[in-house]
Amino acid sequence: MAITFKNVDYFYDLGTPIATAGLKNISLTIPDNSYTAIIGHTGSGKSTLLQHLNALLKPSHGEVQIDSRVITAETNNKNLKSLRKKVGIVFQFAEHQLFEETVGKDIAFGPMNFGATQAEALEIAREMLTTVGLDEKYFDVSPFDLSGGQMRRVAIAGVLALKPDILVLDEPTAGLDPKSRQAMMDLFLELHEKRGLSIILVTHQMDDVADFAEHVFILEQGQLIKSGTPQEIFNDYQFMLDHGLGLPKATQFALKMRQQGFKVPTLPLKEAELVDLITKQLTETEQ
Amino acid sequence: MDKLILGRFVPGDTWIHHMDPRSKILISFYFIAIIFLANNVASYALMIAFTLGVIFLSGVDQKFFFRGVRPLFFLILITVLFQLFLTRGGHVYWQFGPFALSQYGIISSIYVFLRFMMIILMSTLLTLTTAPLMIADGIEALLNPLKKLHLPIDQLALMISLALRFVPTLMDETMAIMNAQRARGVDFGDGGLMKRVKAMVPVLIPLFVNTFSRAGDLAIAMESRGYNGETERTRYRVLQWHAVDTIAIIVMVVLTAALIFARN
Ligand SMILES: Nc1ncnc2c1ncn2[C@@H]1O[C@H](COP(=O)(O)OP(=O)(O)OP(=O)(O)O)[C@@H](O)[C@H]1O
Ligand SMILES: [Mg+2]
Repeated sequence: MAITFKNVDYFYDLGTPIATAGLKNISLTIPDNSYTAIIGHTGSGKSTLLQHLNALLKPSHGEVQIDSRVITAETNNKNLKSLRKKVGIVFQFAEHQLFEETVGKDIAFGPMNFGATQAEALEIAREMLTTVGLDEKYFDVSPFDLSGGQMRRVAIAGVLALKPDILVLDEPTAGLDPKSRQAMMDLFLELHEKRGLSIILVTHQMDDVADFAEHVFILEQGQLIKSGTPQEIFNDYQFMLDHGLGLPKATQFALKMRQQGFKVPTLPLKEAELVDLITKQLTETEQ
Repeated sequence: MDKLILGRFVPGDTWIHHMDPRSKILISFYFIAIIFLANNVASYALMIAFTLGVIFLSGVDQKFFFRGVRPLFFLILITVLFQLFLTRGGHVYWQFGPFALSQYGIISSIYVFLRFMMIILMSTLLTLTTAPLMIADGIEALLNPLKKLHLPIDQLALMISLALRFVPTLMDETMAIMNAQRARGVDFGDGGLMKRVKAMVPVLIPLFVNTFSRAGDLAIAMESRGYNGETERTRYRVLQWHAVDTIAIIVMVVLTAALIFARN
């Protein structure tokens, strides 16, 4: 399922004096089976863009095409359910959406809305609970008795339970401890590689962009200001710094090396690439 | 919900915006009180002209304004229909059981309708042109004399300003939670009444839980910054009475005189 934006504008409170632009003239394509990162400052329009991916918001002008469905300003609010099953969105602060008596029932909520029987839904819920790395013993616990990080995992499980084709994640690891962060990121990669899900990730972590994304879109004040592979984006490190976006740690380190007079032919993005670079330098100096 | 503008504030730079909240609140209440003095075409025309004049002076976008009160308009229309069919007197045009369409019924329902409309327009205008915190400050200042009766006005005012402060936050949060549940397959505009009410449960529970936890955080944050309800607080914004406020009061006196002259 590919997603295409064609000249999409979105205004909040359209037709009122307090109308504000959320997106301005966005055109982009997110290919099938891809791992895409969306980055940009707070307020740059990332969450606004995400809500167009399953027609929670409809473009004020222009169109969004999801698979074969075309969404425009005139699209009716009915019959969007099939779309919402295919595109699962984990919102920012997803832990704020939990409401059921038990963790299991909360995860089962989505599948039941899409027509699964209670038994089927609970079956899926049990599977998803372990998928997100929570112990089975939490199944019958109230979600409000969990820690913030555990609640986040339950919320992610609740969206995974829809078995979407596209998984959209709005800062899913913000506020998690390093180990849970790593576990979550590994989970998303596994879903992408083993189950063929498209992943669309909003993040402020340039290391995650470097480590996982195949394609990057950069937003600023509602506009798409740059797109490309992580290598292309970070090669233009001056642009990234000028726009206050930061660089992966490995790239920062390599740039410092370059300043000190080391030879850095291609900028490394990942830790492993940096290690390669340094090993090469060391072996060269020894010779 | 996103269309209703009663309670919203849109910043602006007009006379009305610059008025002291105390005089604005007083005048709004006073106006609502004297609406009930109007009792004939001339007096209603005067009051309507005044209402429209103030709306015009406030510089708010008129399309936005009138579209924003439309949901209430229909509510009033329903109320007025009762008045229309249940009032008797004068010439009766049509009758069916307890329902009748009479001359008095028509006239009184038109008056009731206009009265409600003016009350709503004025209150909307008050909140639309006054920042929520200013309204809270204004209410506090106006209630201040009641402290002599040992009523906890400071605490009351704090409660009002906190409540007003969190209205937009709660609205945003409601939207966010609704979106999250929509993404999990909830269809809010779908099905019969029971189904719709049931669809609200996944919204209301997180909303309550988040609100309680936020209230707890807020209390801790306030206490850690030395808030103490017992002592007199100094204030950052000091309300100031301007010439516009005096002029506004004079206008109200003139309006009252004209109204008494016009009614019969
Ligand atoms: N419900 C809303 N009503 C009005 N304006 C909004 C609303 N939501 C967002 N905006 C505005 O739209 C713009 C983009 O907001 P958005 O939430 O998409 O940013 P973001 O990139 O997700 O930021 P963050 O990193 O903080 O999540 C901001 O200027 C914001 O003020
Ligand atoms: Mg966001």
